[in-house]
Amino acid sequence: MFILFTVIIMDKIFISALLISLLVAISGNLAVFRKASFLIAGVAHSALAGVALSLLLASIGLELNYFAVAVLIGIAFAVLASTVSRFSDIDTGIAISFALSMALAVIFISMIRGMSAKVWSFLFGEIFLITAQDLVYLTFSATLAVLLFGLLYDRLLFFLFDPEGAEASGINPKLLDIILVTIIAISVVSAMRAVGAILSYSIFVAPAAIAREFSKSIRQSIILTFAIALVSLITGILASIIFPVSASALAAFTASALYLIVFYVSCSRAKARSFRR
Amino acid sequence: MAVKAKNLSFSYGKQVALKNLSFEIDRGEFVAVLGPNGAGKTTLLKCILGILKYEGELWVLGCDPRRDRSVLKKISYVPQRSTLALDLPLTVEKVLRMQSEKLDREILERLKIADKMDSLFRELSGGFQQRVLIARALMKKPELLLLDEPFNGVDLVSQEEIVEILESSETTTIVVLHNINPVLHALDKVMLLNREIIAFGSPKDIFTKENMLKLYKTEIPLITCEEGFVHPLYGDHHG
Repeated sequence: MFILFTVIIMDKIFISALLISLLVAISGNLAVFRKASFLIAGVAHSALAGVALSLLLASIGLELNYFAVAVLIGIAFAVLASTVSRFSDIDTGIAISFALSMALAVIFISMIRGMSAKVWSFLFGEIFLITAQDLVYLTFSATLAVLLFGLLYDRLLFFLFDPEGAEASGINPKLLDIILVTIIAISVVSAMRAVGAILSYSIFVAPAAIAREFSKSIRQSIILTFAIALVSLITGILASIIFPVSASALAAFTASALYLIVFYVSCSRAKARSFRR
Repeated sequence: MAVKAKNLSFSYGKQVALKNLSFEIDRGEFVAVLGPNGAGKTTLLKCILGILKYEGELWVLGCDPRRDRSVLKKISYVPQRSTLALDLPLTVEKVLRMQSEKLDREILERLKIADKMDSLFRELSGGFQQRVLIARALMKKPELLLLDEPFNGVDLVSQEEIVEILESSETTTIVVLHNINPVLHALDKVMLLNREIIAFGSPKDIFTKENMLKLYKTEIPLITCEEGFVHPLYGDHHG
């Protein structure tokens, strides 16, 4: 019975790890290629405000699904950042939206003191606490991300590589950017329960940044990102069974450490090449 | 008529970028727009593409580009390379296929990139990257070709070969430049632009001391070549 129970729990966790890796493969690459890696952290923290808001509304008798509220606020944040980036750079847009959403999160959290622990659980995340409902959200997000990415693949690529050329070919850059940041927002929010708002940044960005260094095509970059994210998550899950440390923290540590190693090796190779010349 | 403008103006907020431009470009002509940084050269191309909401009248291939977006199917635009995301792992073939399903072997061979289909675009030299972008634009078989600073960071051999291909093309071509010398002999018309049109006419007689002084607000030495073309000799700050 104990073995069966363990298998069911581990199945859920490994399926979550697979789905999160799929989301990382798509959204991590989109964020890195859009030069908007910081958007991941911004969306994750704005989603905290969404969770806090849903709890605040529940305390006054208005029950709303926390995931839907967090996704809506995450998308609103991402669209605001994208809109500001048209007049300034994307980092300025993200910074302004980040400050706004964190301020809202703190205001909401201070108004729901009794239930704030639930909000804080989203800050660090824990893949072992994934529920069946969270798995449904992950499946929904992964399906949507794959569908949108697949349908708009050529246009997204054109827009990311050559935004001016794409616009001159009749592609609507504003609409495409909104779709792009929406894919990122939904992915990050659905993975937050498992990896947390703070750690989602390294889980989403580090694998895509590593893949970019070695890939010879976008397809290769997506497959490599998926593999690195999955290895990081599985390493975190298995290590946390042995050591009493959070699985998401260990996964984020693995992904970041891999990135630093790759960065060091790339720099050393580049130095050696320039020395030989 | 390929492009016709009457009192064309555009401002970025309170900053005037283009002021009362009136000009005509016939079909098949090869035209260069020359001016210093911030003269409105790229802005003019974006007005022609209907991307910017200008004031005044502008007709491109018989259409109003602000309203009739289908005109974009007949236009190819080659942006500055600095606007591209060069870190994307894209092969040359993938970049070419962004605008046309079918690859034109003849264009690839003329631009000497037929053997580079599997190379990563980001690993090519500036000259070859520009060849790929021009090939991509030409494969669309446009009626109007717009090029923004196509010679930035491009070696002299590539510059000459690209000019040869553009010159032999029957497509109406508008090229925006800092340095006109690589392309001067091939042009039909030159527009000197510094927010307003300083002069617009034949490349043989447009480069006078007065026009250059108005354009750059400083004296630019001029030299006449054996074929009778007057070439401006630029300082470093003019490219």
